[in-house]
Amino acid sequence: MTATTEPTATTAPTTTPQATVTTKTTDARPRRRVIWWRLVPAAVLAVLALIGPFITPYPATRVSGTSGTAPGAEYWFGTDSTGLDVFSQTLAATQLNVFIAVSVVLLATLIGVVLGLAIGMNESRPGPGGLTARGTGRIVDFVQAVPSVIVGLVLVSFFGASIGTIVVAIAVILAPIQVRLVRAEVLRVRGEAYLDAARMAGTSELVLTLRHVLPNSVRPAVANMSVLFGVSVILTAALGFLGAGLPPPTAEWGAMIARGATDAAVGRWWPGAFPALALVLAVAAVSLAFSAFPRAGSRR
Amino acid sequence: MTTAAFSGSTAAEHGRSSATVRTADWFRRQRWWLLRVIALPFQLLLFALVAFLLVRLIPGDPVLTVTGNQATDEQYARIQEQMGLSGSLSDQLVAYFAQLLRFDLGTSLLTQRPLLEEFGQRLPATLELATMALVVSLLLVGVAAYFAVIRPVPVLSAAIRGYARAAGAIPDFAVGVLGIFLFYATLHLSPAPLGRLSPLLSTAPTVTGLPFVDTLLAGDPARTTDMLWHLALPVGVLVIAHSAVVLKLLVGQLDDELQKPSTLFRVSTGASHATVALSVFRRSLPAAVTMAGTMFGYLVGGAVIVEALFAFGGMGQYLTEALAGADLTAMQGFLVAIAAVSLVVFLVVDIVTMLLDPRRRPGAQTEA
Amino acid sequence: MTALAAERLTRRFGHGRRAHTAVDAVDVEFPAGSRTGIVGESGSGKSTLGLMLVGLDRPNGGRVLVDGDDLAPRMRTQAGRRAFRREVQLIAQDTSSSFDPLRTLRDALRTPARQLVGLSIDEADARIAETLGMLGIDPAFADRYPHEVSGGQRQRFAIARALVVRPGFVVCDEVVSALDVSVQGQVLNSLKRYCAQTGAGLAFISHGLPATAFISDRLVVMYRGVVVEQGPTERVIAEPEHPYTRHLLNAHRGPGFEEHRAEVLAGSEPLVPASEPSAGIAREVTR
Repeated sequence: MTATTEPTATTAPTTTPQATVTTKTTDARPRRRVIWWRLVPAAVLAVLALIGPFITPYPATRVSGTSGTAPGAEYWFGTDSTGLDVFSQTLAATQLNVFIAVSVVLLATLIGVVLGLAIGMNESRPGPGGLTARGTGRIVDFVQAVPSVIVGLVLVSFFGASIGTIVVAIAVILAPIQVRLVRAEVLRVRGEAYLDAARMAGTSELVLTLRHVLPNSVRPAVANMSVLFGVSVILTAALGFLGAGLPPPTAEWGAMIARGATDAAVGRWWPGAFPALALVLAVAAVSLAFSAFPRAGSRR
Repeated sequence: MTTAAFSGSTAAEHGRSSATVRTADWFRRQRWWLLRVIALPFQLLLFALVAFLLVRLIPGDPVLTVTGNQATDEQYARIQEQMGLSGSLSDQLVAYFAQLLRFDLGTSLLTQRPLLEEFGQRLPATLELATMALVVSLLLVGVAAYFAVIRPVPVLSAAIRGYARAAGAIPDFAVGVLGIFLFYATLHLSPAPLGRLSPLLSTAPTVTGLPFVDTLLAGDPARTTDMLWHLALPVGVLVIAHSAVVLKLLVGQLDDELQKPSTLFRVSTGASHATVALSVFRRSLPAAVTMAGTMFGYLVGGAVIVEALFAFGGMGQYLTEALAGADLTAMQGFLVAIAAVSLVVFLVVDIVTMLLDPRRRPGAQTEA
Repeated sequence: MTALAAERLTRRFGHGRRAHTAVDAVDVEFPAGSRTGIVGESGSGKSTLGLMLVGLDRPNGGRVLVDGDDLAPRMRTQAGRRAFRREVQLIAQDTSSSFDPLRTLRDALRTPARQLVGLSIDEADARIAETLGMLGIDPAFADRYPHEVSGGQRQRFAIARALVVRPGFVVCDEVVSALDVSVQGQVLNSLKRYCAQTGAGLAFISHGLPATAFISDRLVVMYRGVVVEQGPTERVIAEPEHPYTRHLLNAHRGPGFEEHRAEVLAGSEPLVPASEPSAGIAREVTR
């Protein structure tokens, strides 16, 4: 019925579990149904990402008109200073930007869940295991201490600007957020009585972690994926903006906005404005889609 | 401050007054921040090690990446030496740390100048920009949170909360481009995005390395106003793009605090509105300070972008050039330098929050 | 039929100056088939003792003996742990977290039946139905999620989870403290009946003296991590030797003690347990 399309890995009942709700929520009662219309913009985004590059009116990476043409009937979003059609570029870039962002979010969350579980379950343990866990926790904190754009810049400059590098670099930057979220939840869950009960039932620590700790700890990280999507779209674009993105003439929103900056200074707003608008709309669409699902109030 | 009172009481309690006991007690009491300060150099070395290893992880031959294929053997050897990539891995590591301990970050491959010198000239300007944005932003966030939560104004409150919800989703570079288009190209309110000063004015003599502070010190009103005029838009861009994160946190925290029994109790005892507001703000402070520290990190990143956008010639442009010229040594040095700055900021944040809230001090946990 | 014993059992928390000895060289025997009540105020170390008895907490000193053998080596292997847990089970105080909120109660009951006893799913379900019947629980509740049943029901499921493996010894930690007086009686009766029918031993940890006195034939009184007195229940209540025991008894004998005791016993009267009306459950769930 309703919960089948929920993107969480858990087989959560449609009603929210009691333990997580009671502490929070200023709202009267948690919503239980999926609000379908909120998924529509994200669905449109997904379709555009899939077919975007194939339906552009002009080639996205080749000159197709006089440079600096204002938006009009022929060039809907105008042309940029090199004569590329802004509409075609913006549309074609959707695929790349969405692909990178989705990969980043999945990879960062995967790292976050694995490390968060490992650190949270072991950090208070004596001996080398606990030491390793605490050490890893500190390193994760450090990565978060350094401005993310700069870490991304350095990583991409080292390992070359390719889609793979960009995805890994941004995922590494964003993973600490997920690690912290999962770890905090693990620390909460670790004290729950049902873990001791499962131990009494003969469950091994590994199975215990996977069957009981994991499903009860991932919610905040999963809810945070919508925020991460936005951040990773913006970080990708920021790297592109600083010249650490994919080499031109690859259509990518950040690089387009960077090139649009010079146009903006001479009064041509369209080469920068449309990719920026696309970026904002994509982020908003995903954020709206996440808000369609019922969830126990998460703090951030 | 606490030492005198504390050692006095122990002496009275236990009838012991030996200096060693007092010193040990003092250390135990002050451990929370002493340990934190002592940890800093080690954290820095760890970061330096990571930067070192990252360069070694670069696939292929990084020297070739820099020199290109046409380099002579002699050129190759020179670049390899300069990048710290000659000799065995352990030799490299020893040489690298020896260099770092002398505060030497290496030499830029592009400009052939010591990186420390390069950063020394550019980084303070970037940090100044970030700090200005931080101060403005914190002031505005405080006011905005007040009107959104403590004394809600109907439409304004909703607008502020809406803005806070956009946290993390406002791209600074896009806001910058929009700002340039709007205020420079269209309304002609802002100066051309081509530096901190109008081209005809000369830069103030370097005293502190912080451009605005130097300009202030030089005491030329015309120049100061001109710089403020140039800084208004970049700072505004940073504030608009990055305030939402702290605002969101503060609003959430204030909402929570308002719901708490202690606040309701205070209201029920008939305390004035101002007293309640003040106490709620004070209790939300540690979280906000932490967030301000994180925000400073974002702002440094944002400042780099804004500098590139407004041609400020600071770290932003240096980085884009280093990037275009594959100056790996510069990137490596920059990572270490920026990590140092971030770690110091986090140290300050940690100590301030621990001062504000003793529960956050390590070893302060009451029960296992 | 399993006998447990604590031998110079010690548990310390923390290090150095903050160190705190929760259980201090405790010697208690739990002969096979005996029902031992452990009483003491909160912080007396009785819960820590219970956790060590079932191997969920490791002592800093001393040993737990299972039928005369040291427990520690058995706990080192998965097979050893499972064999021990098939014999000795723990029922903990009900909190909203005694069951995984994301799994049904049946799921929680199947785990011990399958992992400890080695039953197939169908056998496990049959065993569960049998256990629920024994405890007078409506089997329909088994397919609910923990938050969908009342606290009293949840506690009975916690008991069912422990009894589903038919253990030879059960450690109960404050199992009735959070329950209504009427429910307390039913729960105590179920436990007592299980022990009587199977000859299983019982360690009943509680700060509530009336309930403990009702179910146990021996009493152990703990104070600050130390056993101050132990002996047959009737004797300890009638002629307490240690001042702390007298203090404890007096505290309970204040106004209302006899009434409370009577109430507990009265609540236990219907030996055929009444199934809870569903309206009552709905009310408790929304609370």
